[in-house]
Amino acid sequence: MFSLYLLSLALGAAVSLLFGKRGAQAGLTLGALGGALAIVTGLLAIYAGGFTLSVELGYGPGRAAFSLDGLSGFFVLTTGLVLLPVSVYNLHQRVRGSRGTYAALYDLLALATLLVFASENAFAFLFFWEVAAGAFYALVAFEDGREGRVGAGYLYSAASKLGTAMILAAFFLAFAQAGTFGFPEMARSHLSGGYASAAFVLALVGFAVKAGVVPLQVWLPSSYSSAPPGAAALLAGGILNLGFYGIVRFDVQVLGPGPTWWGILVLLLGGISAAVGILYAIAQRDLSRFVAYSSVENAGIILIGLGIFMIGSSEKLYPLAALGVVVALLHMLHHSLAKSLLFLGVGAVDHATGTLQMDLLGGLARKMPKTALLSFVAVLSLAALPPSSGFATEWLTLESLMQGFRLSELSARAAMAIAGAFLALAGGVAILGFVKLYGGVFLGRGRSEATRKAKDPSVAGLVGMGTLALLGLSVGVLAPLWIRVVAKATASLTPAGDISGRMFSMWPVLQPAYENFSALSPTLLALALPALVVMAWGAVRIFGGREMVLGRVWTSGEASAGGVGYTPRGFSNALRTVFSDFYRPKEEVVERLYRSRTLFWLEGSFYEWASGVLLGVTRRMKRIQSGNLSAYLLYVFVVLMLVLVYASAG
Amino acid sequence: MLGWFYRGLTGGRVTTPYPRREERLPEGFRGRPVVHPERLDPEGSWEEYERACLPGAIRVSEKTLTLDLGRCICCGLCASVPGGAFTMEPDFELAVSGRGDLVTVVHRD
Amino acid sequence: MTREEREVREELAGRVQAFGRSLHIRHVDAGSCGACESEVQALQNPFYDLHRLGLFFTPSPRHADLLLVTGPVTRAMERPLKMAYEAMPDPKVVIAACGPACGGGIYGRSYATLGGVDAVLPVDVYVPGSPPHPLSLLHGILLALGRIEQKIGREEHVAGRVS
Repeated sequence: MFSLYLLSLALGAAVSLLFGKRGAQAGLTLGALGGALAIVTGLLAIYAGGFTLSVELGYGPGRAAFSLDGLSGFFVLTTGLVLLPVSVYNLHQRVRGSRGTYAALYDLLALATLLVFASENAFAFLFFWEVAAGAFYALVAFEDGREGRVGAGYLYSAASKLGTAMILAAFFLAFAQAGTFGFPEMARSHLSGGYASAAFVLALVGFAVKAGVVPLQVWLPSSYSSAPPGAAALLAGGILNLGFYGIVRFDVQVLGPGPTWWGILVLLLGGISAAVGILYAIAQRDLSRFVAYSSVENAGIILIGLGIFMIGSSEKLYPLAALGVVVALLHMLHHSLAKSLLFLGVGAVDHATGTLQMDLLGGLARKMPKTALLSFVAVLSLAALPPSSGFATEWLTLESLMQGFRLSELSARAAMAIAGAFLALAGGVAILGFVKLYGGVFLGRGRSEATRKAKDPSVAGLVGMGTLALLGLSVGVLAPLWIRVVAKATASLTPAGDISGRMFSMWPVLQPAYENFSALSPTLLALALPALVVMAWGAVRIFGGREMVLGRVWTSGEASAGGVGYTPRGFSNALRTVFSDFYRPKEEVVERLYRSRTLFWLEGSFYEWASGVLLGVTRRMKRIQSGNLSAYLLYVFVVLMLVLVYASAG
Repeated sequence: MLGWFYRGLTGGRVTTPYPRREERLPEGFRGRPVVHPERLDPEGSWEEYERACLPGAIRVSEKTLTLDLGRCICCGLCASVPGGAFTMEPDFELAVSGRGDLVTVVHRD
Repeated sequence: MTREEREVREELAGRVQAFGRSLHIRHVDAGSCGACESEVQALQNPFYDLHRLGLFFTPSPRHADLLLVTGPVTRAMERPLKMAYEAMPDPKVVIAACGPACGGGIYGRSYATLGGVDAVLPVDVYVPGSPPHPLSLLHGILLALGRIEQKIGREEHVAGRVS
């Protein structure tokens, strides 16, 4: 059972590579099959106990065990839930370039990711992590003919290398203490004090790069918008979770509960990411960059949940800790489903109109009604409006933060409050941002020629999107069901065990793990809201009685309606002005044109400064590479001496 | 700013009570032209009135003289023609609900 | 008053009943000289203060009950004027304010002008004057609402005799 889905994906990759275009369709179908099998495997791993598969890797790395426990099972489940519909969508997606290679990379990426989740050995983990990173890079730079793709690929590679280096350092620190690369063994030989904190921070930074947490998110927007949208959906929905998996697995399970400041650090990072991410998102003019920045925001929210987990563990408030991780993983599930759906919608728009500039779009709801409807589900969810899944998870996150009063340390309580403030800001700006996105792209009237010939994608595309939409809605409407699944999956992480009992006051009503605090039922909301709409409509029909006349749009007497109305850029202008001290955009006059280059300081000045420093250091270090043979011999001699001294001393 | 505030407080109420009470307009308000048919000679020539009217509100035909307030600009030139058939009435309640209500016709007999 | 005229007045009275005590006015300048606009503006000053009577100006025809048109309706403004009229919801009332709007005024009907608003729209009240005094405009608006009486009308005289 366990190896079946891996086999399916491996076969898919091979077939695509070997058989070109037609092989690609077969490969994608195998990918979809792999997704389905992954779902089943994940559920089995959660409910029927784990799987184990041991492979001897030889001297260095030792025995590599591949296993799925509840936690990795849930990640496999999430990835499968995204992989299946996205693969179906990709059957229709047209790519610029070799389709066979595309499908092969796609399957390979999925395969590597799923293997990372299954790795119990640090070496295997890193190996498949790097394979996934390589496939990721290849997908980002895939359409290398288009502008900026290759640059985005380089940026991603640099960031990825940095992240992996940090993770490697952390793993080696743990290895030094434990003497083995296996995760369970590392967990048993508890790392102490300074070593543990150093490993924690290194691993956190390394995994945060992958998760796209501020201030390490600089690669994310360009990479996600460069990759073909069919792949970007997988990237945002499946591969982003690698970062979270790493944090939960290593920083939490292996290193064990640490001092409170670990949790506080994660909490604050999460809060800042959430606020900064969505603020940058709302200032974007490119549709896919907006969606990518929204992922930064959601990464922040997930990190908030993980921070609560860590703080709870440190203070031995196990129900709170368990709540934190349940909330984090539930939000991750919601984000994976909604973001993939949104990227698929973006892909459909790109395919139909050829442009992703929001100022040039508009009125697509009339031309692409099914896409508009399905994208609306994703937008509703990401903006956290009832009765969607995003609403349920964000409510739970806020409620968990409000439990801060149960903590004893003042700094922890303050951190919870600050993170709550950031989250509230992020939530408000998110609604504004998604109104801009949906209103600017789908509603209103088309603002340029590009929208004239738009139409819905074909069956494969719609089936893929529809499946994701239904799954996404289910996380909200059937939240109690999914919470049970997540709680079971994370039962082994804290002594509180499976907290699904504590999460409900009555069956469809949720509560944040503590009684008599607050309650909400997304299920009942999902019934009540449509009912209210129907009642209101009925009341208007019965008691209204006024005639309705259809007339032209009032355009102030102008002949045509083109160009009349708010553009998305204008809509977000108010916020950009208010936060201009935060954005610090560079404005310049080029020849006789006023141009406002919105290169935000976090990505511009900060990184320019940092890379300047780095380049300066490396330039100075280049002098070692003098090319002089005698110099090299001297280096060898010096190092040898040092090694001898160290060996004899120790 | 404060100056206007003070002025408003000390100035008292300046709003016209119209339409509750009648309003008298100041001296010099020209108002609209009114025909006095008794001063028109039924046998005489009425051409000078037509010539005096710049926008062509006064039209003279063989049998009638027509004053159309729809074309009138209330300049008062017709009132300065010797003979005094036209005078300016400082009347401001001039609104009507039919186009025909703006027309005054004088017949020769 | 002929029977026709009485029917027209009654129809107008029926239409304005829905407005109650409040009226929103949309003003369109169909090519006027600008003097009438000053007089319309003057209605908002403390001397004439049209707000005390429940009358307001609104920028959007979608919110308007009454269309106040000044100017002889130049040919370029014919279409926008019609669009503004069509954008107004029923019931609506049209007032031609100022001499040129009533019957062409000093411009008449020419290569540039259409000679009055009734060439384009059905007019309910005419307010002559060039420009009309603010109180004339007020009289016209209140006449349209049925809150005041019409004072002048069509006159027929015979020369030489006192009428």
